Amino acid sequence: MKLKSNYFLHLILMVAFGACETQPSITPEYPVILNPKGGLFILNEGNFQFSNATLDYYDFETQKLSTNAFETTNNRKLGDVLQSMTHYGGKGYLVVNNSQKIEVININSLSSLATISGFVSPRFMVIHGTQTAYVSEYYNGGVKVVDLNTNQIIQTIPVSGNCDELLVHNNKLYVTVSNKKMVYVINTQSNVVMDSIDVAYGPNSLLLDKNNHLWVLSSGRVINGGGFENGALQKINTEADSVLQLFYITRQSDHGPIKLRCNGKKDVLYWINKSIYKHPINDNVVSQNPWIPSFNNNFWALNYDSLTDEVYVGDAIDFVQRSTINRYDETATLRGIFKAGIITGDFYFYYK
Amino acid sequence: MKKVLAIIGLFWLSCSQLTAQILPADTVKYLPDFTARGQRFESFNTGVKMVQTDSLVKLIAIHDNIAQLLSYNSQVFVRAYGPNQIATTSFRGAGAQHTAVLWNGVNLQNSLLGQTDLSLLPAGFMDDISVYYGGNSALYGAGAIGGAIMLNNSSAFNKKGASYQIGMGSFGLIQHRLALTYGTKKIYIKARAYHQSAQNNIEYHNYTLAEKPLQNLAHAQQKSNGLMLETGYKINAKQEINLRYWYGFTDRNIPPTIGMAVNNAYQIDEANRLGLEWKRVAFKTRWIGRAAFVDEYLNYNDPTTYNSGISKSKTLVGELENTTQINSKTALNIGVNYTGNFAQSSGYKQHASRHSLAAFVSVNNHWSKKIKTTVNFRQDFVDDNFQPFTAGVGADYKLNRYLNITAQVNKSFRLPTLNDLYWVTGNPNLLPEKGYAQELGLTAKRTTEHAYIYTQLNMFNRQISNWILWQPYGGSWTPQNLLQVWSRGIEWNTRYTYCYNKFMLSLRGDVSYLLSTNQKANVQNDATVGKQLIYIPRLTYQTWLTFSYSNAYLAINQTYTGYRFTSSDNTSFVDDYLLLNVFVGKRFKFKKVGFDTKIHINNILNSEYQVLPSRPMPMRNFLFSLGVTI
Repeated sequence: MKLKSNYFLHLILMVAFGACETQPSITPEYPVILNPKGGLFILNEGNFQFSNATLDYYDFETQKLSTNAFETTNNRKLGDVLQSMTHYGGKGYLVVNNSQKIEVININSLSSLATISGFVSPRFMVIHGTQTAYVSEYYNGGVKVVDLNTNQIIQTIPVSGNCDELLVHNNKLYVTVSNKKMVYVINTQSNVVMDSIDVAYGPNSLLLDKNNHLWVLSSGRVINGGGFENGALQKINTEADSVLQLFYITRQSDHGPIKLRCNGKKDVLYWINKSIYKHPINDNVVSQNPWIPSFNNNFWALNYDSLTDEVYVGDAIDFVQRSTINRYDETATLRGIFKAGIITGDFYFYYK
Repeated sequence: MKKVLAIIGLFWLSCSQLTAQILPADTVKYLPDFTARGQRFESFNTGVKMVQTDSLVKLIAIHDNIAQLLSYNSQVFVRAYGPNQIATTSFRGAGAQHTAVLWNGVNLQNSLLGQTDLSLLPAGFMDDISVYYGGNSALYGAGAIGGAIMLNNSSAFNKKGASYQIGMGSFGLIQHRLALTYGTKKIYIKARAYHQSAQNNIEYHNYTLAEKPLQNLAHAQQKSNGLMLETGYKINAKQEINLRYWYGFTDRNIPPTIGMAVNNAYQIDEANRLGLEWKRVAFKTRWIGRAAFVDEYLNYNDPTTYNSGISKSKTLVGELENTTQINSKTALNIGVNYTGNFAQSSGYKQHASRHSLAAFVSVNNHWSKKIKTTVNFRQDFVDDNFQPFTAGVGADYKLNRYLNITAQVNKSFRLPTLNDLYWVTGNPNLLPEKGYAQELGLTAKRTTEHAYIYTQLNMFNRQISNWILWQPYGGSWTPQNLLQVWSRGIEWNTRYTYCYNKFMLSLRGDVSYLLSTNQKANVQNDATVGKQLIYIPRLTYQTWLTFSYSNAYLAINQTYTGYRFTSSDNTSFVDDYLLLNVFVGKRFKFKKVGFDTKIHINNILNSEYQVLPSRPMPMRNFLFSLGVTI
């Protein structure tokens, strides 16, 4: 052969057996070192069906962020859509919505203790007493009752609709149903629905203020075929389970008002309605002016750190990059910025 | 240009000699302006990199769908959502909606989605599968910003035959194929049918569970049926008509991604496609008329989340084109196209429709024996609006016997999809996307008595502005003209074939390195400027090593796909993967019956890989195939 094919052959073989790309190593900036006083858990939902949910740990003293702390500690991924967290008796409960499970961790070491499975679409978990938890199911699973000793689902309380945030008070379990106009009241002794409270469409979050009044935030909705229903903030008497005050809120975005939170004294409310809004509980009007305006931000996480009196706000940006976390003091002055995981959905403060 | 090379598909079974007329395919084609089945896409595309699937790969891929075929036999990145699940394409760093898929000249891009699910299209239904790298809306029509895939059927006058094939593979795959051809000088009938069912219960490690146990993919069953009926009639010496009907049905369960416990969703796709083609070929002029009706039905249903929807799309196409050889140096192609899209979807407030009219002109000039150029122009008029005027210019310069330099520039566009415009939260004010691309190529080839070597280097550069993205900026999920995407890269293709009597050795290497980055920040905190788009590998390469002797072959294929970012700020990615596939086959005759046997071992290295995050792909798997031909 006259051709100088050997040269090309050589190149082809080089490609065949040599080349591959060096991948960047993505290791956490800081190892997981938990502050014995506690810290902040940042819940990053991750993208739906990507199983890239992560748990970040933020040390408020050193201001260092340990990213992806669950996987780093347990050598496995957390799962798909980390929705919410709660803790009890030294254990942390991570509700992983689209993995249809709850991961139980040692809250002081983050090491995995158990996995509670058998859910359809778990969203939030509340502890009742010393060995029972209630878990809301978004897609028609009602409310599941979990035995915390055995980590088994022991009962399903049928509730139709998309069950969202829950709250236990006075032996009553309040369940928001975000595709309905009501909050269900379940008797925690019989685990039977005993009452329902009519609220504006789309109740999604709720909390108790310092006077033991229940505040429920409704998102409103866009009506198919035109028009919309307003969102609302409702104040509810927990003795009679009746609505005392109702403030309509104009929806500023697709999701409307969501994620009702309060300060440490439980007398100032905060929520997301595209921007961040604030409402002292004794005011008779809800301000139309945002407390922290959104400049095309996609605020998706909000909570109040009662230890430092700072408000943490997560911006999910385009929902496919790491979120930006802003810390504000009570005067809305920006105190710090850092990056967390993809789609930060909530902050969970854990202090001993 | 009478000296252009008519490169014919590689007839691997009759590779007894190499001449300028019989060369391996998968090379840039220089076809004369006039060929019997010539379409304007083939003859008015000077400077364009075009790769035709060679006959051996077509034989290997007889049981595959187009997505599978392209994943190991092209430089198109195929985004597969799982085994036999949805698969779309990315050409040179563009999006799935920037690929035009043309079936005998009729665009199959779904008008609601702007893309084509290539996993629904069986490769065995096509007689010619060609990939055109780089967009050129002026030639292929709206939507072709990244590139075009041409799926063509050929007529079967004077051909007769019947064949049956059965393919049995891992994960419960069974496929039956039947093909009947009857043709005289005047008329032909061709019928192809297939049925496939598969469990797709592939294994994967569940990395969200302790100890990462090996699990079987659940709820991934798939079954599909298809029918391709063709008939043609020679009206006289100059005219013929071809009528083709293509039916496809696929019912698949959607498996859970790794980390999901269960998924109950399923999807049904059904398509009826009818194409009529009339040709009149005279001494210096050729007319082609096309009419098509495409009816697609998609039903996605998730009983758990009630997240379900039905969409129906109907498309009507009429096209008339004329090619005239004005003189020995110049050929002219002019034509008009009407495309009507009619859609309904559970996500729309009302039915949606769109009427597009387009006029196009292309001119080929052979300035000398060394220089050939093509210009393409097209103007689309959609509903009441003029769309961006598009144009393409290509040139080919023959430096010497061995070397050619090619260049191509084009301006292309894509219309917003009907979903973009008419979804409940859609945006009727969207602008079309515009693409500006430039390309430079250098090819070298040499043929000797027994060997053929070919190498081609292409560099491309492309800007896409007004890139449409669904984002919640401003508070609601709605599509907006958000991104400005700059793609640039280099591709290198090499072929070497050595033939001696009945023995053939063939080596092939295709490498691509590209960057495709967003150039525009949209909001505060946006960290995506200058970052690679998600799901677009920078480095990919494929190699083929093929031996054949007489009627037997052994082919070893290696496909490498570099890591792909999964976050727009490039902070997370899915791992790269290297797949090694081995294909062995033999044909033999017993009395008058032909037999065709093959064994495929795919992913022989047992790589555990994902194309898209948390969607497992098959590890080592097998396919046995037996065919009978009379």
